[in-house]
Amino acid sequence: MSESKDSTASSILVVDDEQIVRESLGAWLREDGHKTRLCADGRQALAAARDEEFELALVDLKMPGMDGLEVARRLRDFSPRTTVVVMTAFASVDTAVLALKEGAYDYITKPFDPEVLSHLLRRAREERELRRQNTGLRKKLAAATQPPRIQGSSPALQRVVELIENVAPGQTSVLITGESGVGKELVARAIHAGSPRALMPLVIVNCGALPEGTLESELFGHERGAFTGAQYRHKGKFELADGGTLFLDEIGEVSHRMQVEMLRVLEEKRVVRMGGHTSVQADFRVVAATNRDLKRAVKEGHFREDLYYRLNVFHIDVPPLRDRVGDIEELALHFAARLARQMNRAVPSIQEDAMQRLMEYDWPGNVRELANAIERAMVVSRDNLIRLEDLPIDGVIRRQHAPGGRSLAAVERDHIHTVLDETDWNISEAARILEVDRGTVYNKIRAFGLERERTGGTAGSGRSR
Amino acid sequence: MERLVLVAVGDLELQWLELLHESLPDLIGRRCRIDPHALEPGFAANGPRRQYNANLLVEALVERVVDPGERVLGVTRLDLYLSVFTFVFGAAHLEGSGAVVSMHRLDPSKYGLEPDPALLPERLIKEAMHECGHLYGAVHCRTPECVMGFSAVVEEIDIKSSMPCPECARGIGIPPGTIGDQGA
Repeated sequence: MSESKDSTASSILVVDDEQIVRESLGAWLREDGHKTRLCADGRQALAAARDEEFELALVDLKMPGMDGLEVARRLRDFSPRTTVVVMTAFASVDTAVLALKEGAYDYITKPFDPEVLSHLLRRAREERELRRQNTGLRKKLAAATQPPRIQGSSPALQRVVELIENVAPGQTSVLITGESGVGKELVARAIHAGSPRALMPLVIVNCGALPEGTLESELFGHERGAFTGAQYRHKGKFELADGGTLFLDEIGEVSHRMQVEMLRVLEEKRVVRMGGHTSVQADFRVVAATNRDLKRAVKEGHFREDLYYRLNVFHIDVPPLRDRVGDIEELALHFAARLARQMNRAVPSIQEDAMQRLMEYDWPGNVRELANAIERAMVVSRDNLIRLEDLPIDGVIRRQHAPGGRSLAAVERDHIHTVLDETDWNISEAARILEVDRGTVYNKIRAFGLERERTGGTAGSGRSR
Repeated sequence: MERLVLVAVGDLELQWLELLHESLPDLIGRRCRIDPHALEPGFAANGPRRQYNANLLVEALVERVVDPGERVLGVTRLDLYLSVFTFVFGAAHLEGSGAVVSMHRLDPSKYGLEPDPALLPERLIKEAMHECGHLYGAVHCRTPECVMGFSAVVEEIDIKSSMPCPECARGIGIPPGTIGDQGA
């Protein structure tokens, strides 16, 4: 029972040349539940501190040979996490100042009131706990601001990584292009994490997923009463990104009117909330992404040229997965390991023919589709082995199955329409089946001009089932 | 057989030993007896401090043990100290044979307050129980109200109960059901 029984117990080194002092102090500390080591001089104390790390050292100031200040100094050097308290029979301002200068946490005058010692132990414990928390938080912060690792060693991807490293430390606006699912958001996160703004927020806006009115309110915020339902003042994403990075995903889907509004904010870095009269300063770096050919959209008059050049100061194009087949195996193994951690199970192996199929597949949904495929395979797999039949791409090597005589766009349009009909136009369900995000489904509906059949039966023209 | 021996240290009215003789067996789950011979404390006196060294008293009390199952608790009105402390309410050898408890700083009149006939015996029982806890192996406890909580000032004694928390009770080896409802 004399073992300490709670987390407030400490390991304490007592250093005093008077036997009666160290024994009575040691006995009291043991009664208080602490683990003690008693030393008669500085030499013994330093040897003890080499053997084990003490949380607290109570060191007598006046001792023959090495005095308490010297002990405090040496302990500070090689056992910096030990809190040192100097005990003195003759308190004076000079000795107190000297002790504190040598790294002591506090000093205490002998004989001391039990309350003083008890209070000192509590304070020292709280200080140690704060230091421990501080160290933990620093580690967490370092981990949180660590740039996300971009998996893949193909030259094409390494070029992307190189570009990220070059552009991240500055303030330059970046335009990320690439097909849906290639990891444009991951690139944006890496740019933010590698920038001096890493400790400030990264605010993500999916411009394609929101109707114009909602997007405007989301970006600019609104004052109370700005429109029906605006019961409270609401800060917009531009303001929320102050000091950090604003990531505008699917920038190619923004309406012409919104493009004008956005350009003004990007140029002036000032925002007027909807229904408001005064502007608010917002210092943010802008990173935008799109899976559209914005240059073509500019030529066709769908996207403002001035906004395009404002965003496209630095351009990163993320290649589709089919153009970096060399990354597929590494990515598949990475997802398998990551999912295994999440599912709390052993990392599965991938059978050779299954891996071969992964390499041959076209991956129209890119890395996102690959991640989903591995997840699905892990759910259905047995014996921690992913087999060919576990893969959701069974028998469909799309590059070999394109229907002859029809354009890719036509096939895509029909397929999306079919899935929408099958899901009764449940966008979330359709997005899950198509293995794309909801925003992409909305974009495709808009781009292909798809409409829901109100009367049931077969759907729009040109669609084969 | 385990037994606690109560010894007067210096001048002490018999009523205090009788109070503990009556109260402690229920609390510690061991029988008690009163040693009729008081311990003469002169050897532990510290003239300049006008106090008595608690450690020396405990060592002398340990010599009273005649049976391996016995432990000794001295009770005194003297003011006690340990070498590093200005005063102590009591002292004990952890998992040892001897302990001492002082009534000197438990008395409200020591602090210029009106005498309280109920408060002094209550405090004495708690502090005697606390030192007995150390004798039977318990260390200071952070559970509020547990008698094994450390009291730096006399008011903190009033806050705690006279009984150990369940965990300390197990550590002290109090048989289940020994503790009655005799709270603080």
